[in-house]
Amino acid sequence: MTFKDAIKKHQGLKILADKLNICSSLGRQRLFDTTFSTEEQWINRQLSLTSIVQTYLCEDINRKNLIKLRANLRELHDIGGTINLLQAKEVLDDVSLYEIKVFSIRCKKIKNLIFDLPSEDLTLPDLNEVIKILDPEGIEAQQFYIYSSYDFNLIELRKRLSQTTKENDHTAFEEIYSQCMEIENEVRQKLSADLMPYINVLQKAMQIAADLDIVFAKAVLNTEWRLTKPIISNKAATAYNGLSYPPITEILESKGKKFQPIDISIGEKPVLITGANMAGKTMLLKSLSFAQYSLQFGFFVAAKSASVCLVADIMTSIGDLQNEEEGLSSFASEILHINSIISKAKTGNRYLILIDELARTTNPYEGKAIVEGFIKVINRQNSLCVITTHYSIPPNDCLKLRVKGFISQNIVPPIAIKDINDHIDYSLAEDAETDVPHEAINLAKLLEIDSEWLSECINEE
Amino acid sequence: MGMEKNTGKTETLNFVLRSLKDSIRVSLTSIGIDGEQKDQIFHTSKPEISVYPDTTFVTAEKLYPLRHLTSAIIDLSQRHTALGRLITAKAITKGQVVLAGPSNTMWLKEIITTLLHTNDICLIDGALSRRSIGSPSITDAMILATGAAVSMNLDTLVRKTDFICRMTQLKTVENNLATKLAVIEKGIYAVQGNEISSLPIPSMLMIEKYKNVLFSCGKRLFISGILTENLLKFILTLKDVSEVELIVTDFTKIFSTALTTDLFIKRGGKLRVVMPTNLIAVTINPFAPSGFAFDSARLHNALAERINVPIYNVKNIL
Repeated sequence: MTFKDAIKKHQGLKILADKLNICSSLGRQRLFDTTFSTEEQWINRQLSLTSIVQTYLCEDINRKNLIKLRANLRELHDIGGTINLLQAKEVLDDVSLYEIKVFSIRCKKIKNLIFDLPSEDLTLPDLNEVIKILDPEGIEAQQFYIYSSYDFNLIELRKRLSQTTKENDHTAFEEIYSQCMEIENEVRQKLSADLMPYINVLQKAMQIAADLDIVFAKAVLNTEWRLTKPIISNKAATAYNGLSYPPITEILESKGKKFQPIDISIGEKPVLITGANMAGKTMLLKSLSFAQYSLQFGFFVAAKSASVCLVADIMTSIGDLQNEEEGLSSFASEILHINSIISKAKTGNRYLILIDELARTTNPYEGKAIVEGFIKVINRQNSLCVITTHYSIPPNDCLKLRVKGFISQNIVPPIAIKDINDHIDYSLAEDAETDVPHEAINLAKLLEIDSEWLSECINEE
Repeated sequence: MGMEKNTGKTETLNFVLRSLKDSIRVSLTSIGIDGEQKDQIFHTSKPEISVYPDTTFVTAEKLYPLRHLTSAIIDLSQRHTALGRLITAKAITKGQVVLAGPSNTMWLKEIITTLLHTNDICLIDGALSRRSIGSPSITDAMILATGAAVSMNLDTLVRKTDFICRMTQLKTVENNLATKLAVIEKGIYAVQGNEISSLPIPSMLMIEKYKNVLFSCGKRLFISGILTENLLKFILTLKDVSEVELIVTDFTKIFSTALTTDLFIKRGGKLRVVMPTNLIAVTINPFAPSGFAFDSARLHNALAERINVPIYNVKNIL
């Protein structure tokens, strides 16, 4: 799965990609092509590169240089097509030669701008030899043509050309011009041959420039979103201290509110989470998948500290899966989807499985049985799993956690829906009880539902 | 801008380029080429536009090799046209180029802005099918090329040329109203004093259906899109044409025929623009590709009787 595929699956990643200030098309392409990694070494390298750049950017002077760096990165274009032509031993035209020259000059500028960045992985190769080939006059101007200094005959011919006008002596003009063309073509052949030995170094420069662009963008994002470097856990256990979800944190903070970070540990036993409606259970699942994706695409995570176990993939069931086209009800779609999750989990790989309110669309008796059955099956697999539910399930085969929920039972309505989260404690507590919290009617009361309906509800309960 | 093919647009452009070469920094581009013209360009095009050292020109990647001069590439667009990316180049020697420009007016505006950072003037080779670049929102001034290629009948030639000239010289609306109208992009509006109210007319195609709506708030209307033949013909069926005033953004939005437009004006209808077009000259080419030719002086005089901008036969002032 590439990053490009993943942003289609996770809205949060899409927001992350938009927020990330990647300047070059090279960087953007490389980020989109990044695959969901299960290699600890690769991930650790990405994390440490980001750390190096983040520290580097703590220096005032380096931060000020960032504007210049970005301006240069923005002008750095993909010359992959041109390099392919060179590889195929084609003679490059002026446009291709211009592209290589400008690319090399930009790389040199970038290299000079961040000459003191202490990372070999992010050090651009020396392209002075390439520049020399394409800049015989040595002025490093961002322009290219077949300079007269490439061939002394050109000087003479061009002089004659400027003395002859096409209108006055058409034949003479055409003849001199075609002589010029011939020499120019010879020069292009020679230049193309001279550039051949630099194919690898140019490719390397493209790759490093793209990495630089991504790593600088990540480092800036780390500060803006308060992301931290996680530890990769070698056990089947993931633990977050102060896990948050930056896309929502940002929205809340813009309204003067706060996102309450959550502490959560997931081990070999499935984690079952109960809690009132609006208690942030779904948001917790989204935060978990966001953090996992972040790490395995080489980003820091949104938590105060974290120790995360790598997984082969993230499998989720969050939201209504109704599939009208195939004539499946939401229940049938969900069950089939969960079934496919089980068969994948049974392959032995370790997955992160996140299920929101399993079997909520069927009757509570059977629904409960379906959840219990699922927990038992998943408990026998390698995967890490978090399930939310409103059903009363005994904490036998799972670790049961409860969102603390309403801070006070005695809140006086009316409360605007948008302010309800001011009265909720989103933190988790271990729960040894089978029964679920009874807060739905309380919430309905706060939402000021019809009084008759409310009193009937209370009577029934 | 040429009224037709072979009206001497290239000669006019070459004349301007030649006249400016030693005095100011000149840049040059064109508007995109549509599919039909594309084949033609590849098969028959020869570079005809003469540029001089230090002139900056913009053309498409695929047309750049057709040049007959030495020029340095100074910029390459990331966006593509049908003929590849756009190349900005500076002429090192004098010689000929084939031009192609951006494929839409927004992009053209950006290119003009960039070119004017380092040049004193930007000339645009207008294409027949892209009248919109004559819009004052894009260019400061316009030169119109006309000639025997438009019609072999002198009266027709004069009438057609005169019509375009008159449309570029329509009166503008009051300044404060113009400021308000200039930012409107869609719809038909009634204008009462300084008040502008949107009229609920979804499409101009079925204008007859909205007869009652059209003049429900007075007879002064602003048409932000194009003024169609259909709308004018419909208005002409009404009684009090003389009370009607139609406002369009600029002359490039007038798509009604000369005949209908003139009839509207003759019956007292008023036509106004938000932005005026600065038509600075008309150039004439007495020769038609068929071999037919007018007497240059006769053509010049016939046009001069009707048109109040300077008229030149650029071939005569070589």
